[in-house]
Amino acid sequence: MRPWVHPDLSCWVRRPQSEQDWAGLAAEYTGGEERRPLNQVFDVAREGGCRTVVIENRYVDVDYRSEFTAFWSLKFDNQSPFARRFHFFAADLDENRLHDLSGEEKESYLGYSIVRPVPHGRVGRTVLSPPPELDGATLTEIVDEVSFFGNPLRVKGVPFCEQDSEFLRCAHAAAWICHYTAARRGHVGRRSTAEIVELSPTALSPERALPSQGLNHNQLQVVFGALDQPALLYGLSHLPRVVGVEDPVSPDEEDAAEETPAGLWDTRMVSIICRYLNSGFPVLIGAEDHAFVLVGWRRDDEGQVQFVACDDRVGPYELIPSPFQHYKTPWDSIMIPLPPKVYLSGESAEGRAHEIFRSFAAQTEQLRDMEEGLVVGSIELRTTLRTCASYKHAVGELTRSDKILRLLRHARLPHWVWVVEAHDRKLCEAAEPCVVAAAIFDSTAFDSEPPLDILAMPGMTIVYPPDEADNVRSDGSAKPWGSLLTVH
Amino acid sequence: MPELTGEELARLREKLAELASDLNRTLGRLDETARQDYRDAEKSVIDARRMVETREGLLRVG
Repeated sequence: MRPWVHPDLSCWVRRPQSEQDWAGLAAEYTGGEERRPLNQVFDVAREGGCRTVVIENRYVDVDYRSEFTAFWSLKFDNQSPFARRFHFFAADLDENRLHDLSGEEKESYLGYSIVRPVPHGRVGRTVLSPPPELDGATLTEIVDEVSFFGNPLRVKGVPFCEQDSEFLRCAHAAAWICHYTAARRGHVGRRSTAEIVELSPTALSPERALPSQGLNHNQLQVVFGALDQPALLYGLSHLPRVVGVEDPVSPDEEDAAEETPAGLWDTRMVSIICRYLNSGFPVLIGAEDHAFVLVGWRRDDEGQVQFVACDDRVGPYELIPSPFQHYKTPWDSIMIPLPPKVYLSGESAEGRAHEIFRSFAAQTEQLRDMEEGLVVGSIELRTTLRTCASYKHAVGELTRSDKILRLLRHARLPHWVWVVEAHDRKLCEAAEPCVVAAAIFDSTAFDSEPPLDILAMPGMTIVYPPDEADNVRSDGSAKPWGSLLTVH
Repeated sequence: MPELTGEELARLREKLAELASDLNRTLGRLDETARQDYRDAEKSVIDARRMVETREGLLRVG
């Protein structure tokens, strides 16, 4: 056995303070020649105020052990079957009291990162609290529970793992991030990384399966289908038009010999990506020969959208100031693994809502401002996918009317619904309640003229029940109400 | 939206109830150009996923 497992210790403690200390700790695992995802993991922990790192020895990680069984153990000169788990705490832990942490010490937990004993791709399953810089950003976070020598700990963050270049490639790492998010939310059962590799159909590629050369989109789609997360695929060259979203103009002259890739100019990708991030679903980006996952977004000081990525070449929580200025620009495709019965796209739901809001406003004297706002863009639509249960729970915070709450909570809705809100931008900027209309659509509907389930307009909320029952209405306030979204 | 008087709010609700009672009719009354714009956009959503370019679909990422 290589000297990877310490025979006498369950763990050891490190207290890096300076940049040099952290770099030294990283270099023990990466060789220190160039910046690796492990350096980014340490940066995130450090920015979160990490004061104690506990390195759990001889950790049996379900993912790494599956990789070891399927691949590494078959090599002539193979690796250790054990991983190490790094735990990060913002508190100064007493090395002799790790078996019985105080409440305060448990609260200071910043997350964990599993380190594999493989030559490339040291970082295995990792969930870290986001760095303070991302406070207020929309993130596709999960809650993970950890047993730390019998102490139950919790961490809220986005999952990350790195490819190892031989068995797991970036496509597997990206698929795993999407999968682990769904598994931790209870949408699907948990599958190991080796199972994800095993689900990749070799027949769809001319290459041999191992060492892996990566996956094409067809293979990724099969993997996501088998994980019960069939993915929507958008090619950047043919993004859909949505009324109310500005149409970008191609920089090409009409008779240009070669087209400028849409990944260099098509701003519609931003609204498409944000619809799914707002819904809590990670978005896989294909860019030339690489795949990575967008896990969040926020606005910069000038109101421009910035994305947050988990890129296995970079590490967790990479901030991308613009999709047009990224080291993999131009991006080629967008893949969003979704629950199987979400047939309706966010774009269709949003387009239909725009049509409905405008039709009502155009025919109502008191709502002419709304019609104009929808046409000129001072009212913008924001669209998210929610479970019916989470929507019904959230409306309790948004309405002051018990009659409307009763109407909405008794509405018969499918498991997943698209919620489209009309936002008055001026009110958003003033941080006031900004929603002036909302529409709810059945996620199992088709993209063509999807039927309406609920419509909330100033002064009235209307529920359209299934089975051709008559609509049910309730009067309400004509004032704007709050949004379901954190950032909008 | 400007603050509404009680009477204006009552008229608003009366109108919304009328529009809500026959959704197809309400949508059908939008002007023809706007309706066509919505149908074109809807078609672009359906087409978008059929028209992923071969190059984009076959890219190998890894």
